[in-house]
Amino acid sequence: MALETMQIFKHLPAAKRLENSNCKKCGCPTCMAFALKLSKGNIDINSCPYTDDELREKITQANKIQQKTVIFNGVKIGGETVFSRHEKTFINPCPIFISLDPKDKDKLNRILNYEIESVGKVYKIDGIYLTSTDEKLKSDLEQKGYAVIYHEYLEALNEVKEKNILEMTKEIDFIRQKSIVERDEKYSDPIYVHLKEDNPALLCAKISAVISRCVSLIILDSFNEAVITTSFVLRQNIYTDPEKPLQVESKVYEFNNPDENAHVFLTTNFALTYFAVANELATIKNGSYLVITPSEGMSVLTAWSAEKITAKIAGDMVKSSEKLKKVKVKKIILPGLLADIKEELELEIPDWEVIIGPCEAYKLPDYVKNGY
Amino acid sequence: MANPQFAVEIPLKIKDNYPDILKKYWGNCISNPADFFCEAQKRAKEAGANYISLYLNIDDLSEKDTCAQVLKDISKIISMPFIVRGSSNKAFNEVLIPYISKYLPKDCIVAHAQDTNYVNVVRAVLGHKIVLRTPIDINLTKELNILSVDEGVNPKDILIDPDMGCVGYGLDYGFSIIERIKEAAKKGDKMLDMPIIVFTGEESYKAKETKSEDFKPSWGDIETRSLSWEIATTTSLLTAGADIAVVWNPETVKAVKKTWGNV
Repeated sequence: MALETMQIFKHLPAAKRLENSNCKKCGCPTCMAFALKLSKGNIDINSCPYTDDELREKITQANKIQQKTVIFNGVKIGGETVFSRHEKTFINPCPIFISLDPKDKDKLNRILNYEIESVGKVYKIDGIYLTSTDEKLKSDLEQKGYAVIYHEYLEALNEVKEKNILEMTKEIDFIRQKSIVERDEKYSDPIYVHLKEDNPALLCAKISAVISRCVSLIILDSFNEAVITTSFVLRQNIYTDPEKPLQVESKVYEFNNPDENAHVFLTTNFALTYFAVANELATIKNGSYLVITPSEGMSVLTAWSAEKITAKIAGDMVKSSEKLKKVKVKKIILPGLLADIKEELELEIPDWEVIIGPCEAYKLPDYVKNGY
Repeated sequence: MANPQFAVEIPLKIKDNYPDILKKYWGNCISNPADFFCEAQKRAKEAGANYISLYLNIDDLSEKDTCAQVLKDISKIISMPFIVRGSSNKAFNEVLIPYISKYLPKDCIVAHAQDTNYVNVVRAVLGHKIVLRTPIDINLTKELNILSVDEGVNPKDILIDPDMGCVGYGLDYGFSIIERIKEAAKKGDKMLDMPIIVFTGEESYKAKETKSEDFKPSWGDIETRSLSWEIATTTSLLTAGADIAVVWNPETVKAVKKTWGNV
């Protein structure tokens, strides 16, 4: 575990009121300042001539690697530093490799053709596990950006065998407890599981479980697009940094070539909010404009209670938009949850009619169809 | 996490935006609520579920009599542990749940009591188990638990619903708060040491991915994707530590039970 400032400080001269207290030989003004820097890894412990053995032991322990990072053709595996994502964040989304017999051209084509986009990110299959040697194929695939491995490459990793969910997750948790929390170097290799399950529903359950428990690499025999896509989106959720809500740029977005008869919508710049609305507007044949407010990545309700979306913020964006000046019928649709700002907003932008739309994005197409 | 339990849930009213895959499953018996319930209960048992849940998804309080009537009609048919869930409207539930409380079989789980309605709701169903829902905030979870105990609820009768989004729609918030609640309970916090219940069915089938074919080929076929969405949501939250998952598709119960081990 990382050492905290006070845990370090108590080993230093100033804490023990010794004569070398705050000597500045390390370059810091006080022992406390040194302790703070050391806790963050921003200074070498050897800068201080007066640390005790116990502290040096603790720092050595704290610097021990938790989980190694193994890299195949640029694809990173492992390297995690916390047991639970809420402690900080998970770092390297567990790659998904598909096993492939080089002679199976159909499966190869399906792998190469696989591509999805979710919340603004593009995902392809991360790598291929070749079941027999084919150096030419390996080289071709690597040039395309895929990681390619043979069986012997897995010796660098800890294997968790395919069993039931309870057993697999227990094993994964055990290894991560040992490596990440206790820094036991015997367990520091990243963890992989090779799933041979071919029933899509059962496979989906197994993949979901191991992704959620932060396995480092998944190898699949069965290639089912629906299951893999669901897994990629789940992986995206689990590996999201809890401290950084995904945000999109605050601006006026266009959908389906809006002209002077375009619909106009407004919501916040939380990525999920944006994409939920954007997905719906993409299906509405008549073009639309979507005003996205600078709300620090908060969802509608959160932004409203934190005053990161107000009549003024919304009004300013509408007033300053060149695109919106072209709209003939000036009606702007707000999310249902922002009903409270309607009157104030109408004062900010008097040539616009403010309409309170549905609370949920998926209701937008019907809402628009029924006229507003 | 060791022994997850499952409920299969059916809504009182089939809404237009429920996905076709579920309507196909529910379709045959929707004309008569009692028959519908009977059939659903059969399928819940077949799938190995521990509970059957009825979701009173009314749009107006004038429908409360319908709710009462349905509960009366099914009272003789209920043959497995029963969950009754109020509407998605807090204000309705303040009236609805007390109104239907006298038609409940013994020892149900009643959902939800929330911040603005918990006093009337919990008082009306004392003796049953009560689901307390808060908006993904561990402090609010603890607070509502304490307030409910102050109103006379036995802590052993409380189930925590920290609320959640499905895969692709903020699952990570629900996932982490469940892990944090379990961590706190393990460290001895008695006011967070209650079973966690998640309504993965309703949440999963709100997602466009479970209903629309308007996706590129790499997103797979709608039937597999629709079911996978609920399976992934449910399994992930169970591995976070959720104790009871309330699903809509009985196939989810079958798939998770078959792969879980020990259930």
